[in-house]
Amino acid sequence: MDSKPNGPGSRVPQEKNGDIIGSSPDGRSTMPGPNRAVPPAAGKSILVIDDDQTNQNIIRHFLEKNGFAVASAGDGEEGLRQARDKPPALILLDLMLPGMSGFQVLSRLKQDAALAPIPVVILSSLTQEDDMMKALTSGAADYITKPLSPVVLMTKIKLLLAGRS
Amino acid sequence: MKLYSSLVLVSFLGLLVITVGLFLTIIIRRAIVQYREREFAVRYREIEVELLKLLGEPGVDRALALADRYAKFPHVLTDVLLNYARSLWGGERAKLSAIFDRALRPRFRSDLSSRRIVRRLRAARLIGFFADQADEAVIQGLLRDPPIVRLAAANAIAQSPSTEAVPIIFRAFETDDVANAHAYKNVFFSLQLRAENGIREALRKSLELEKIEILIEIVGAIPIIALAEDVAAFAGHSDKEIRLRVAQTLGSLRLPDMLPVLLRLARDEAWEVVAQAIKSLGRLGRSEALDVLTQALFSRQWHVRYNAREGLLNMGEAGIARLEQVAGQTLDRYAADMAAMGLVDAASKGGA
Repeated sequence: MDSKPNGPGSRVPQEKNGDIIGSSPDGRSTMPGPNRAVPPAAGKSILVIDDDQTNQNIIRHFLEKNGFAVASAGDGEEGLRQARDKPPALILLDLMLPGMSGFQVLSRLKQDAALAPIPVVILSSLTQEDDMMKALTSGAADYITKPLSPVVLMTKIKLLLAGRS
Repeated sequence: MKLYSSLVLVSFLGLLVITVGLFLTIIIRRAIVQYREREFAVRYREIEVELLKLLGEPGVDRALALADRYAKFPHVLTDVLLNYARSLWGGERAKLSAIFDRALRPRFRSDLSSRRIVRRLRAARLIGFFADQADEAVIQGLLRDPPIVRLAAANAIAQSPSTEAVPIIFRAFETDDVANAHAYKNVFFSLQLRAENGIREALRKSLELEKIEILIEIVGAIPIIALAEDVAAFAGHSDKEIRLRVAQTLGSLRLPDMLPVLLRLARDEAWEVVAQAIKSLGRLGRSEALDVLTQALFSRQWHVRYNAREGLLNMGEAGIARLEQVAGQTLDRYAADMAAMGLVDAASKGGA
C-alpha cells in the first residue's frame, strides 16, 4: 500500500502564479476525467477545521490565492458551531483534533440535515487503510494525506465544488 | 553585648543583600528570557509571512532572497522550515530545501559532526527533510550515538534511506534497549515495503518479546503480504500478546491462505486472542468461517460475541441467515440478544 495517495510518482496539475492552469488527475475517483480544466472558485466559502496553526496558515494562503473565502476553527466544537452559523460550500477537516475527534465531527455533520450535503474533505496524517475507509464510509467526500501538496488540494476542492454545482 | 548586636545586624544586612540580589537576578533573567521569546515569536512570524508570500510563486529566486535575509537568525529560520516541511509536500517543499541549502546547510553539516550531543540532536531533526546523499555516512555514525540522537537519526534516515541504511536501522533496533523499541515503529512504517527483508531476518532471530510484537504489528500496518508465512509461524507462540498480534496482522493482510491459521487462533485458550481472530475472520469474509463465527456468538466474552456479530454482518445474506437462527433460539439469551442487535443494525443500514 502506498501510504501517500499523492506520493511521488503520481501526476499532478501544473501551477502558475499559484493558480492551477490545468489538471492531470492522479486517478482518484473524485476526478471527473483527464485534462479537464479546473473551474474558478468564485468566492465560495470554505471552513478549515485543523488545530495545527502552520497547516491552517498554508491552507488559508492557497485558498485565498485561489479566490475562496476562508473560515477556520482549531477544534471540533468550534468547527461545528461555525458550520451551523454560516454553512460553507466545503469543509476541510483534520482527524486528530483536541477534544472531539475528526471522526466525531464528521459524524455530527452528516447527522445534521442542514449540514449533511456539504462535502467534507479529510486532511490527515493517518495513512492506514482502515482510517481512510472509516472516513469515506462515514460520508467524507475525499481523503487527503498530510503532508499536503497545495496544488493537488486546490484541484480536488475545485473539482468537488464543480461537481456539486 | 554590643559586639554581638553588631554581628547580628551585619548578618541580617548581608542576608538581605543576598536575598535582594537573588530576586533581582531571577527577575532580570526572566525578563531576558521573555524578551528573547518575544523576539523569536516576532521574527518567526516575520519569516512566516515572507515565506507564505513566495509559496505558490514560480521559481526559487524569492526563496533565495529570503534565505539571504534571514541567514543571521538560524534558530528561527530552522524552526519555520521544519514546521513547513512537515506540512508541505511537492513543488513547494523544494523551495524550503532551496532556502535550507542557501542559509543553513553549512551549519547543519558542522552540527552533525559536532562533539556536543545537543547540536547533533538538533541536526538529526533536520535530516529527514533536508539531508542529501553526501550526509549519509555522517547520519549512519549517529546511529551509534546515545539513544535519543540515534532514534532521531534512524527516523530521519527512514524517510530517504539508501540500500546500506536499511540494515543499519534494523541493527539499531535489534541492539537497542526494549524501552526504545516502540520509537522504531514510525521508522519501519516509513520504510514501507523496503522493510520486508529487514523484518524477515529480524523475525528469525531470538529478540525480546516486545520487539517481535512490534515487527508483527508493522507487517499488518504497512502491509507486507510477502511476510504472511513468517508471521503465521508465530501463531503457536507461548506468549499471548504475540498470538494476539498474529491474529490482528493476518486480519489486516486479508489472505485466504491464512484462513486455517485464523481458524486455529479462534480456538485459542486466551479469549483476547479468540476475539481478535474472530474479528479478522469477519474481515476476511470467507464462507468457510461461517460456523466458527456463529459458534462465537455463544461465547461468554462480550467482545468475542460482538466481533462475531460484526463478522457475520460482513458476510452478506449467509451471515444474516445465521444471525436470524441464533436470534430465534432460546438456549442462550446473550447470544440471541447479540444476534438480534446485529439484525437491527443490518435493517437500519438496509442490509436485511
